[in-house]
Amino acid sequence: MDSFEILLNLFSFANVAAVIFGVCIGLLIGMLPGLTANLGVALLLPITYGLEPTSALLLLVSVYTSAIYGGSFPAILINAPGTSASAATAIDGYVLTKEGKFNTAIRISTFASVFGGIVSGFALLFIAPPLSLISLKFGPAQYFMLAIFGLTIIGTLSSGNFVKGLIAGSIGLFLSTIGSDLDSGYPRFVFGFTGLVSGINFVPAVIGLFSLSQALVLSEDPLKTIQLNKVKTDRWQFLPKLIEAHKVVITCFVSSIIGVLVGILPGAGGDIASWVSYNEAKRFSKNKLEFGKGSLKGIAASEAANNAVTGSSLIPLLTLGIPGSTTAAILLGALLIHGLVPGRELFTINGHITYSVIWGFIFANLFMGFVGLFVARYFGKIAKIPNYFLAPAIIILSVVGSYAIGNNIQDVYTMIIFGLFGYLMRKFNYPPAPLILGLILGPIAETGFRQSQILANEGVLLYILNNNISLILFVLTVISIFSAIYLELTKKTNYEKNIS
Amino acid sequence: MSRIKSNIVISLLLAFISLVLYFFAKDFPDTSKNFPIIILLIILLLSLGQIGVSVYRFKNLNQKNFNIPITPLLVFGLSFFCVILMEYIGFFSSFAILFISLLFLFKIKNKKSYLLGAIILFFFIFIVFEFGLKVSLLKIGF
Repeated sequence: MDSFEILLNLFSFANVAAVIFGVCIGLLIGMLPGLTANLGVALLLPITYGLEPTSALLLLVSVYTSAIYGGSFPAILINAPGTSASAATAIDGYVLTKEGKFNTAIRISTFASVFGGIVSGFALLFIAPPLSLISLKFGPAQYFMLAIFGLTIIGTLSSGNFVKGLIAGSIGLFLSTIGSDLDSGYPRFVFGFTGLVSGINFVPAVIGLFSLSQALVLSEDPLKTIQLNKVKTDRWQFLPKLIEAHKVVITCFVSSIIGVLVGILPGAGGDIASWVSYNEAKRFSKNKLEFGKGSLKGIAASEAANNAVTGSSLIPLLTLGIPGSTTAAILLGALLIHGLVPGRELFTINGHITYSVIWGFIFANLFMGFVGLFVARYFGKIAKIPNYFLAPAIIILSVVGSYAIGNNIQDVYTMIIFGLFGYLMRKFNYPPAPLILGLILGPIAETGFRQSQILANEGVLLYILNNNISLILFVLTVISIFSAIYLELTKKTNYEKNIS
Repeated sequence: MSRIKSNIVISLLLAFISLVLYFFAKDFPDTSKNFPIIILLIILLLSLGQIGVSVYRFKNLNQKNFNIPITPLLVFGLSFFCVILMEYIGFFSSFAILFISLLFLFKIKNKKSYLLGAIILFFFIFIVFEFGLKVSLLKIGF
């Protein structure tokens, strides 16, 4: 398929509508503190069942990137980041708002977010296809080691709760074994429930864990609404001034590169990228003192980096099936739902879908900037939606979404049980993201392990490690585990220092 | 309950469940049992490890009590009830009951805008799912 055909496919009515809808919903979710990109992608996942794979994936990636950008609005206006990735933006953004320069802060945040998003889109376009060639060399042993490496991401996904993260991931692995065994057909852990024979459906589990549980969290304080301070704002201008753009363009470029590199690392998300970029921008700035006092470069560094993560976190996902972030883990489920297996096939047989999605992602980033600048003026009204309305709205959308998967009431029960489970996990500090990762990677790990058992003449472990790729993955796994433990211990020390 | 106690109780519960499931999995055919058994043993070990971590990490810190608030559990109960009810009286009437129940549970003062918002949401769901995705919500329970 040539470039012209890809463009024709991309600009079909369904695909353009998916991008527009995805951007609007993503911005809305990002703007509301308490709602996350994960919730948005999980909630819209069932809607994609009725769509073509290209439109479905375009919708989800548009929600992802726009939600991250939308998170900068409450960070700038009310010092309450909509997503954790926008926490660094609040430092300088809120100072500018207090000075009556809300519009300037939003213009810079928009410029940087679009810049970062587009850079990461091109990184995805140029890095992913050659990297996918590696997947051709993968057999059962390599897939087993890849799944194990993917699971060590748990360490970074479960910030500060390494053991709890591992437990959650192991529970996910265990849940993936429920149902009829693919080889022997033996029904495992079904306890007489016929509904469990086909296993646990991934989508209702995701909706329950990320959406319903969030609705329950919101209902803890139903009357809470955002309190907006009355601030004078400068004359509203949609496009960034040339002088502003010139001032931050280098920062945007460097931060985008940092964001891309951080995003490729499995498990490292937008929050890490934005803090690293903010610190680097401060370190190399001639005027370090302006940081924290309304620095345009500070906003640009944070926003360019967190949006640069969105595209690059899809690189390990599309090429090797390892999600680069929690949202990417949900997107992996979306790929599998539409019969798309990560690896070389995505760039050859299904190339028309993949390249359309990548170009669509770049287009979505551009479009997001225009919509964002337009709706930012009305942010105050949007952010005032109270929890007592958001909570039941999310519950109803979760119910209807999980029912829509297969017109099946059992999926609704799965969703609602996982919703309670997710809420209790949050209350007891067990991160829900590793559970989903375990649920996705479980079958890959088990299949790889069993096939290796059959192929191995001697010990199965010896067979698995008897090739270069597996060895590299093994070393990466060990590094990943030890770095997570190191981070855990450092965080623990800081935590204890703060407490004392 | 303090955080340390809750961590220990949860870990003990997990260890117990994984042990029960381990003995259950031992009766599976050869090829089917290996992977779940390994995972269950890992959960068992990690749960025991979590008890150790909890004791080590929190032994010198002041323990604050923490509770799970009752409202989210009531909201969950109501939602579960409405899902059951959905099979008998249909989707829209069942979730209209949820919205009205929450009106009283949350003690909402601005009733008009709340109910107007609910009607708009129901209309949006009806249009998107009935016409866009061809999911017949009206047929649930009938």
